[in-house]
Amino acid sequence: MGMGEEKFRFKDSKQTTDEGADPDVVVESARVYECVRQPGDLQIAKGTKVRLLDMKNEILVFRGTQNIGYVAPGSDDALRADVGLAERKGRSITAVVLQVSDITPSFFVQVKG
Amino acid sequence: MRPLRTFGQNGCPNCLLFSECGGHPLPLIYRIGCANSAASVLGNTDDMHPNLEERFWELWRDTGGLADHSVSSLRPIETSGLPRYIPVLQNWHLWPAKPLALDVVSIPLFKVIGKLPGGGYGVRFPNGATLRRKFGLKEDTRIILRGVDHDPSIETFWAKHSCPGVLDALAALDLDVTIPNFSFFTCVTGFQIVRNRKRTLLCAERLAACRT
Repeated sequence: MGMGEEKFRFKDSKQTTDEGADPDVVVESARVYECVRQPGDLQIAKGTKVRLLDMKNEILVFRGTQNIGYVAPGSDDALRADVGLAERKGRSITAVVLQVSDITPSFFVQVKG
Repeated sequence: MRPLRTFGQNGCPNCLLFSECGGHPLPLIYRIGCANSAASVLGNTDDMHPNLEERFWELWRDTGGLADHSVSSLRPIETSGLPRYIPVLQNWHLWPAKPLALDVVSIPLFKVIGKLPGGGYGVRFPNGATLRRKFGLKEDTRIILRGVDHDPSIETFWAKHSCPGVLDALAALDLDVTIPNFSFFTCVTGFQIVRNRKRTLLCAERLAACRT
């Protein structure tokens, strides 16, 4: 309700989610996608768990809630099609950093599980 | 070179949800971003806050994401014939000697749907006729269920409304329903406000869908 309602936030009004904590549909076969680091000199360790989030015009890569880059143009449509990103809860999926380039500002993520 | 965009950590214009949120109304918080402004105040909150990563993504997924607010067709309430003022019956304890001579009344939605005496969550009346008798109404009284209410009832509704049969049982009463209003608090991040706006839209969409 309105501003005055803030004082009435009782313990039993705690937000609960039925769907948010549910596991997502499993991706059976491992697939690898190229991503672009942002900023280009950002340190990313191999094995880092990341989240790929479809913002419609691009797919962003998050470490926690920090945006660390985006899926390379050309790979994003393939990713959407391969894992059914639009149908997933929150239009997102988790992945693992597989390889980080020393030469270019790119890294590769593997989607599986 | 793209600008660095975050979830409310380097100013509203750089926020990934700026187009949906519109930014904080206070100039200072607009400059630093709501994630920074609220972190020290909120502490161990259950609201949506980018610094609480696991909870943030759980709440993000719970509403299907906050980057898209599109919903399918809604069903507006038929407003023709409604009087200027509509009496609200807060409960069924009036016990009138004969049915109330009212053509249209409003009843709180959460008097009709909620925790059941025998456990579980659902609609407390098997049909509209039983509901009208309980409230001492005529058989043809039009009832508008008022979704606006306090947070505990609304949050419980959100948690339980997708349980099998809940919305179908509500639709079977064949009544009008106004949408539960999720709060726009001033002491939370913009993400929580956008989330509550999305939840309001989803409730409208799902209540409309169960009537079709």
